[in-house]
Amino acid sequence: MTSPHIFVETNFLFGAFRMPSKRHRDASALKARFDADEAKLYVPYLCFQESRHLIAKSLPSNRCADLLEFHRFAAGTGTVKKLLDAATSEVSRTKAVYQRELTDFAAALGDGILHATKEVFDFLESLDLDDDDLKYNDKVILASVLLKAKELRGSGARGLFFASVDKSHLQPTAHRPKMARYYNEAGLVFIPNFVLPEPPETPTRQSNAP
Amino acid sequence: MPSERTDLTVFAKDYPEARLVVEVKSAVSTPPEHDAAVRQVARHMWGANCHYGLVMTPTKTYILRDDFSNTGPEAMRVTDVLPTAKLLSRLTRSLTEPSSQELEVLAREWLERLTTSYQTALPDDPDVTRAFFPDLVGAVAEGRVVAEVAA
Repeated sequence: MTSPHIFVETNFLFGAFRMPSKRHRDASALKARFDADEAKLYVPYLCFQESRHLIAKSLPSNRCADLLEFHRFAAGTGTVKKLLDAATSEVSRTKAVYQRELTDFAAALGDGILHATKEVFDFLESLDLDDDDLKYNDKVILASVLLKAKELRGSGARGLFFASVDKSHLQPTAHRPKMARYYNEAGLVFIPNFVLPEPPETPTRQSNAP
Repeated sequence: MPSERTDLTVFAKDYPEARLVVEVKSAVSTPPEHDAAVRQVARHMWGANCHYGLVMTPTKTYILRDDFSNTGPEAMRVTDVLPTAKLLSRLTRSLTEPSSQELEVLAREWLERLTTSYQTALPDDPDVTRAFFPDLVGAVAEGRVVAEVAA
């Protein structure tokens, strides 16, 4: 069985590389499939820049301070403080390593990084969508994904998915026939989460045995 | 004909962190913990590391919470059950027995209110207050309501 080709964007990187206790478990599971060579991932380069900014913004600045204050007030210091210190150090560790982890992941993606080339911008210029409320960065992401998916399909690849959790405006629906046509031409299926649909069951051969 | 499934998710204002998952269903079986829709929402909450969920039917709304007692979807428990008509009573278009499609529209409008100004969404009722305050209201404050529609 060939590995699926999965396009992801900023919300995947954010979910998989943010503070460990708050990571999106399905995003982490999908990354584990990539690490095990069970799935090929593609990420527009722009998403790395966006996710670095979002992860930095999401880190708590005074984690556990209220609980530590209450703990001292209620019971003095003790074992609970060790737990809170560990929780606080998770923030420090994430601050120290998330940039490097994202860079390492980008290196591991190899040709799965989608750069905004002249072809992407040419395609972006020609994009004719049903409504014009997409933000510019989302248009660049969509153009990068559709162009690469079309190229993969042209070379015979099957099982192409675009997984995104908070970008329903990138989802082709019956109300967005133009966008749906682009997805169809690229052989691309949108999924609003990081869980791939089960492959259809292959029909089993009827036994002729009596 | 396959029914259209609507998921509503409230994300944090500034980043893609799921704060509340909402499913609109025509009914939930008894006991709710064994109902397929409730189990699906619990699984979704666990996968997204999201701590709150609602399953809304035309008659009842089931509130799920992560009680952090287990590792897995079983940590997501139904903690409160409220009459949907009471929960949505602040809406001007509140209906007594809405169809599933009407309920989807109402749920989205209600969530938009809940995230922007909870006073305009929640009725003055001790059961509602107990179910939503302070954690759930705080989790969705200023959040973005996103609808996923899959045929």
